[in-house]
Amino acid sequence: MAALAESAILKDRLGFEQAAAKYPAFPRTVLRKLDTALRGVLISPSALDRARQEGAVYDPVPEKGATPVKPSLRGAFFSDATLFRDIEVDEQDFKRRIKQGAPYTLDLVDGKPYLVDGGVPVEQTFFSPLPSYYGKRTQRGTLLEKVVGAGPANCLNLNILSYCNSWKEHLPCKYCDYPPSFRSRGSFTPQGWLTQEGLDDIVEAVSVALQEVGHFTTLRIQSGSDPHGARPFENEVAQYVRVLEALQGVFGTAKVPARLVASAFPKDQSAGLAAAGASGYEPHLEVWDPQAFEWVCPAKARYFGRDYWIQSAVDAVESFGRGNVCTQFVAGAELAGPHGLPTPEAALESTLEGAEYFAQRGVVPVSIVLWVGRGSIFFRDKQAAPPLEYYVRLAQGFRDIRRRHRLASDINDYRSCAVHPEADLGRLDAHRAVNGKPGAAPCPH
Amino acid sequence: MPPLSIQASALLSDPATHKVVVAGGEESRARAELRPSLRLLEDGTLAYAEPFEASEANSLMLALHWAGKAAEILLSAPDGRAWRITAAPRRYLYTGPLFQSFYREARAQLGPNSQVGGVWVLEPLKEEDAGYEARKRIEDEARPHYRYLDRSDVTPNGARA
Repeated sequence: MAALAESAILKDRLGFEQAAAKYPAFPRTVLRKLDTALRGVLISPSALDRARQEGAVYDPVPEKGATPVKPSLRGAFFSDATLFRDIEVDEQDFKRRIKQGAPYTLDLVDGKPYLVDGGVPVEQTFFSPLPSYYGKRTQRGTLLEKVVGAGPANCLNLNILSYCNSWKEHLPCKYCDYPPSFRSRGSFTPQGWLTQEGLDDIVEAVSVALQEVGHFTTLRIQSGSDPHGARPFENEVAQYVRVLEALQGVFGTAKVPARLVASAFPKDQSAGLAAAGASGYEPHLEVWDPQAFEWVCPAKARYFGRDYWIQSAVDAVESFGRGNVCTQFVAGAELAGPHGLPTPEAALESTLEGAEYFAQRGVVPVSIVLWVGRGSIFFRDKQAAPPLEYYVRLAQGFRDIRRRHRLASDINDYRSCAVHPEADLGRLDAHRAVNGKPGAAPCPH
Repeated sequence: MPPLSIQASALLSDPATHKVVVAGGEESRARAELRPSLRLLEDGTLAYAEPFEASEANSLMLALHWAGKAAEILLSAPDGRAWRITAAPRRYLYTGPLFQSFYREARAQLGPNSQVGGVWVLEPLKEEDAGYEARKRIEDEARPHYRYLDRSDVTPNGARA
């Protein structure tokens, strides 16, 4: 109650049109994207059929003996190519998340796909076709999309570890809804790492995917976290090196256009990954406030603390260059009770302080909307994301910070990740960014 | 949206036509770029390939789209024909059949190391003859006192160089 009395954001709880009126310079499509992330989107059967006709629906082949998986889309575009994701095909699926308010509908209006709010068409939408490699198999018979996922449109996604150590130690990040052995793509050893056959599948799948011209600009390689080894996270680093060296053969270049969404590595290890070909690196801090960090991400606190995770990102700029190291904030997690910050206004101040800190050092801060999904501790505890206005002000703040520091993350932008609203706003500033090695000359215009 | 005139359509389909797209933005900045890929689509809209995602021209065009404002297109042929089209950016895309069409075209013309960043689709709002003779007719009628007195139409009996 005290927080409600102190917080205008909580008290006002602006809806879309109210937020649009209060922040007229904020692009409506990006605002709509934030609102769909909070409220969810349900696609109508007729719109789903249209999406299928346009090759935009993934109808996965069920593994033998496994429960069939529902069809899915990689998201859909607004007219400006802003992508919104998390489109559900079944109303029952909304129970998997704690959302705010009634969901949008994606439906056909006069034969065209539209986002519909309360029966009113609000934005024309366009489907994102699947790449042509979907449905094909490796020589071993593995479906290529199980090895390398595509989405959003310009990005190929690889997962090289079948688990996260945080879950193994019962210390998951509290917003994380991945099950203990997530992402069964590829082939993994009992310890969870890629087998040689799994690695061969990756090489083959990426090679096939790249045959489609005009589709991909980057790879995202990620794993769960493994802090073990002779040095911090050494086992995890070794696996990334293994995959990078294999991909060097695919591209025929020393540099692999891949960013690693990984744990926080010591300086010499991230330098080693850059030397092995990685083009970008993302050790995600997730939460800036020290107390909230300890509580929201206990495994990161244990391995090896907030200062370590911060320094890892800062140190990596020397190896990867300005704009090629990102750290992510799960915006809203810092508010979760009982140990979180008391108001959205306090959360804004804290998170923006963190964003400024990193930007000053050439690390690109990115944010995502808090997803409270079934399987996470936050879902169990019925935590909720803050109101829309919080995300508007945060995205503006992040954009202003990035603009002032002339930072853009081309490898993690609105086309290759599409979940960071400041990246959508930052499209207006992209030409001003000064990326590359520290001390790189400013852009001439 | 009425269809473009025969003159504009002819200029658009003429490979010798120079096609310039100008996007203006905040603080009076504007960016003019040659857009040889500019073409008329079947539904009467115009589309062109933006080669570079992070270009200033692309940012300015996006700003126009977000603001609901229009860009200017100038078509200029070697024989002196010129046409101006005011057009509103309606869509930006980087996937799908239309994008692929522009991508393949760029590859065919510029080689295997070329690309397209994205495709802008614009809706023509207004068009006018931008050629000298057409402009002169309009200006002479609207603003006769800016005509030089030694012009043959102004002083038929006057001495001329």
